[in-house]
Amino acid sequence: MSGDGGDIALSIDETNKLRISLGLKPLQVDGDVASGGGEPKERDADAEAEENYTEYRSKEKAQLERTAALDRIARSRNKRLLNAKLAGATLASDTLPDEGGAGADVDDPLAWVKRSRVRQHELAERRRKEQEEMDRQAEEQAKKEYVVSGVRVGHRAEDLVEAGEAILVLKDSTIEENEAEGDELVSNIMTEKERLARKADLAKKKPGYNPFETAADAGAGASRGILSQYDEEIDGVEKDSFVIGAGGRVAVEEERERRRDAAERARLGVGLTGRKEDLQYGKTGEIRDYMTKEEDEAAQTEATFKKTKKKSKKDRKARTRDEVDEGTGNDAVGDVDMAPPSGPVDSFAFSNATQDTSGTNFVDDEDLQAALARQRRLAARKRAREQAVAAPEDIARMIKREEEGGDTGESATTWAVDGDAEMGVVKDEDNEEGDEADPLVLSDTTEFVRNLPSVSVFQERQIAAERRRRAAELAVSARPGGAGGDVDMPAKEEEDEAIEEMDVDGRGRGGSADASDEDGDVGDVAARARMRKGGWTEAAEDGEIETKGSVLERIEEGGGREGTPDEDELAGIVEEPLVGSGLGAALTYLNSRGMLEKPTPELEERENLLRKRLQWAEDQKKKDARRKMEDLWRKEARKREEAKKKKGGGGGQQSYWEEEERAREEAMIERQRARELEDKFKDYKPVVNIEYTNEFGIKMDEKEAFKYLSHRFHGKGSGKQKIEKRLLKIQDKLKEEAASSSAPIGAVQKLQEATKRMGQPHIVLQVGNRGVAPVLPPVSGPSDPSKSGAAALSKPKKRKGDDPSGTGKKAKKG
Amino acid sequence: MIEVICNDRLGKKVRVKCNPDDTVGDLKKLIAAQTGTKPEKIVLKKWYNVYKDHITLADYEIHDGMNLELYYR
Repeated sequence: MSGDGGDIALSIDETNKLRISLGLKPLQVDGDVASGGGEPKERDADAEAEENYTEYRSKEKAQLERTAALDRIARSRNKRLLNAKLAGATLASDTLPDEGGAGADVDDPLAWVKRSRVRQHELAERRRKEQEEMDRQAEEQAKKEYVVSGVRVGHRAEDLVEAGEAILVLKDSTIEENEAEGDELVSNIMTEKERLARKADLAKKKPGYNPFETAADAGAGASRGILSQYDEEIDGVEKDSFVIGAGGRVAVEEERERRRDAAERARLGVGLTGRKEDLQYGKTGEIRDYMTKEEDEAAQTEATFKKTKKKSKKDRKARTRDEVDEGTGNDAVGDVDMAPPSGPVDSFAFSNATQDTSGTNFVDDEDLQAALARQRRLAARKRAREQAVAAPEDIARMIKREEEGGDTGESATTWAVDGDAEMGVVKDEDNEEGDEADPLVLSDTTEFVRNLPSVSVFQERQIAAERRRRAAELAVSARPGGAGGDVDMPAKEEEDEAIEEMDVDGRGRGGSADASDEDGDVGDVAARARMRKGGWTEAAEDGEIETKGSVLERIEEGGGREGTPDEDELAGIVEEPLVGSGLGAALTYLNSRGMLEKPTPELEERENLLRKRLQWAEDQKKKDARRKMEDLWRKEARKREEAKKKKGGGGGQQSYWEEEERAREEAMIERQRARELEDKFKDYKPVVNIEYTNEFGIKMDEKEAFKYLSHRFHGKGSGKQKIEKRLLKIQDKLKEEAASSSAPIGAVQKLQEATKRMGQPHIVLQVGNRGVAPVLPPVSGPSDPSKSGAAALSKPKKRKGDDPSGTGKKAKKG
Repeated sequence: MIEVICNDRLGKKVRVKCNPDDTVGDLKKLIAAQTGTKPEKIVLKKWYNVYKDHITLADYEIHDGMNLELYYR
C-alpha cells in the first residue's frame, strides 16, 4: 500500500490477493492479453462477421423464394375458384332443364325460339287461372254480410260524395277515446284537407265580431248566436259525422235533417254550457232606495226564491236535461225555481231579500251568495216576529230601540239600512224625553259629535253609582223582569248568537264589559260606529270603548275600597291615599304633594347612564354564565361520544367524518365567540372623567394640566419667580376657598364687622379664665374698613384663637 | 486491467486496480478494503449519476484513469 500525494494505491499483486480473498477473479493484466492472443481474437471477429453476413444473405434469399412460391400457389388457386363459378348451365341451357342433353342444342337458335314460345303459353295459362281464383274470392266476400254497418264515419256524407272515392281507415285514437266513441272511419286525405282548411281560416284572422253585419251578410249565419266565434272554444270543434247503416247504406237526407235540428237547438241555447244573457234592462228606470208599497206586495207575491247552493246545482242540471229531452220552449230561463216557497211568507221591509235575484248571476261568488242568503233568512224571520214595519218612521224607531238596548243591537237589522242612515233625516220617537216629535238626526256632524268623549267623568261616576244600585236590586229580586233595557237582554241573546258570526267581535267585547243598560253609552258608540261602517265594526272602535270601560271600572274600584257613599264622589272630594301601603304609595303621595323635586336633566342623564351600565354588566354576567354552561355541555357531550367510540371501535371513514364535523363545529363556535366578544362592547358606554391634580391635590384645568405634564416630561419647570407667583396664587385661592367655605357662618366677616364697630383692631373673647361676652357698642361712624380690618388682622392685641377662622373662636363666640 | 481513482475530497483518494467487467459492487469492496470503510456505506458518483452495484464498469463506460466521486451514506 503506497501513497503518492495522499493516494491510497495497491500493487497488482496486492490487489490480486485481495481479489482472491473477496472471491473475485484476478486482474487481467495487459501483458497477459498481449501474450494470450489479443489479435487473433480480433481476426476471429472479422471472420465471424463475414460468415454472419453470408449466412444472412442466404437466409434472405431462401425467404424470398418461399414467398414467391406461396404467391404462385395462391394465384393458381384463385383462378381455379373463379373458373368453378362459371361452370354449370347457361341461359340457353336453362330454358330446357327437363331435356337431358343440355349441351346438345345450345347452339341451335331455332330450337330455342320454339321452346320459349311454349313457355309463354304456359305462363299465360297460369296467370288466367290466378285471376279467376281472385274473382271467385271477391264474390264470396261480397256475399258475406256487410261488416262496416253501424260504424261511424268522421266526415260529412256530402263531402264524401263530392270526393268520389275515398279510402277510409280506422281513426287513430287512444283506448279511452275508442271506448267512449267507438270505432270511427276517416279518410286521411280528407282529414288532412280539413286541417289545412281550418289552418287557413285561422290565418285569415277574421274579426270575431262584426257590428255592421247584416242578416244578408251573414248568410247562413242568420242562425248564428251571440258571440258565436267562441262557440268552438266553449263547446269544442263540432265534428260532422254519420253512421253507416245496415247493408252499407247511408241516409243522407236523414243526416241533414238531424244536423239542422241540432243547429236550431244550439241557437236556442239548449245544451250549451253557458246561459245566454239578455242584456236588455230598464236603463232609464228610476233608482229608489226602498220599494213602494205596491212593489213590495208584488215582490212578495211573486218572488220567493230560495235555493240552497247544493240543491240548485243538481236541480239545474237535471232540469236542463229534462228540458232538452222534452224540448220545452222555456229553455232560456235556467235559474228559476218553480217550486212553491217553503216556510212563512215574509214581508221584507228593509232587506233586499225581496229583490228579484233571478236575473243576477251570483254563482261566481258562492260564498258571498251563501252568506247573504243566510243573512236574509235571519232578518226575515226576525221581522216576521216583530210584525212588518215598512215605513221609515218605523226604521228610526227600531234604531232607537236598539240604541237603548245598547249592545243587544241587531247588526242584522242595521246592516240593511246603512245607506239610508247616513243621509236620511228620519223621524223618531225619543224614549228618554218622551218627545214623540223629536226627530232622530243622523248626519256626519252628529256622528262626529257623538264620537267625541261625550261621557264626562262626572257623568260616569253617576252612572257607576246607578249601576251598582241596580246590580244590588237585581241580586235581591229573583224575578229577572225588572227594568226594560237589561231584562230582555238574555232573551235576545240566543238570537244574537245566530248573527254573531256576521258581526265582528267588537260588540261581543262591549257586551262582556257591561251587564246592564247604563253602559248603553258605550254600546251606543259601538252601535253607531257599526252603523256608520255599514254593519261591520272595526277593531279601532273597540279600543276606545274598552278604555272607557276601564275608566268606569277604575272608578268603581276606587269607590269600593274607600267605602264612601256616592255623594262624596259626586262632590269630587278625593281622600288621601294611604301611605302605609308601600313605598310606591308613599312616593306617589309625595309626588302629588310636590315634595319630591323633579330630577334635573343632568341627573337624569347620569342615572340613565348608570342604569345602562348596570344593565350592561348584568347582561355580560348572564352571557358569561350561559357560555360557561354551554361549554360544560359540549365537553360532556364530547366525553360521552368518545366513550362511545372507544366502546364501538370506530370505523375509519366515519370517524374521519366525525372528526371533520367536530372541527367545523368548533370553528363555528370560535367564530361565534369572537362575534360575541365584538358585540360585548357594543353597548359598553363608560363614563370617562379625567381629572388632573397638582402636587397640592388641587384640581387643574386642561391648560394647567398640559403645562404641568409638559414640565414633568421635559424635566424643566418654570423659573423661580414664576413658581413663587404660582404658589402665591394657590395660597390666595386656598384662602378664598377657606373663606367661602366658612361663609355660612361668616366668622371672618363678623369679626371684621365687630372690629369695625368697636373701632378696635381686636375683640376680647376671654379675660383670664372667664369668658367675656364681647360688648358690642353701637355702630360708630364709618371708618375706613380696609384699614381697620387690616389692622385687626395684623395686630391682634388680646388672646385670641390662632386661627382667624378657627373653630375654637367660633365655639366661644357662640 | 484498469485503474480508477476515487476521491472523497475529505482527504481520501484511492487508486483501485480492477477489471472492466467487474461490477460497481466489486469496486466498492475493493475500495472498502483499501480505505477501511464498510462497502455498503460507500456511494460512488459521477456528477449526479449514482452508480448501482450490480452493473459492470464497462457498462458504465468507466475507463482507465477515470475519477469517481466517493461519498459515504
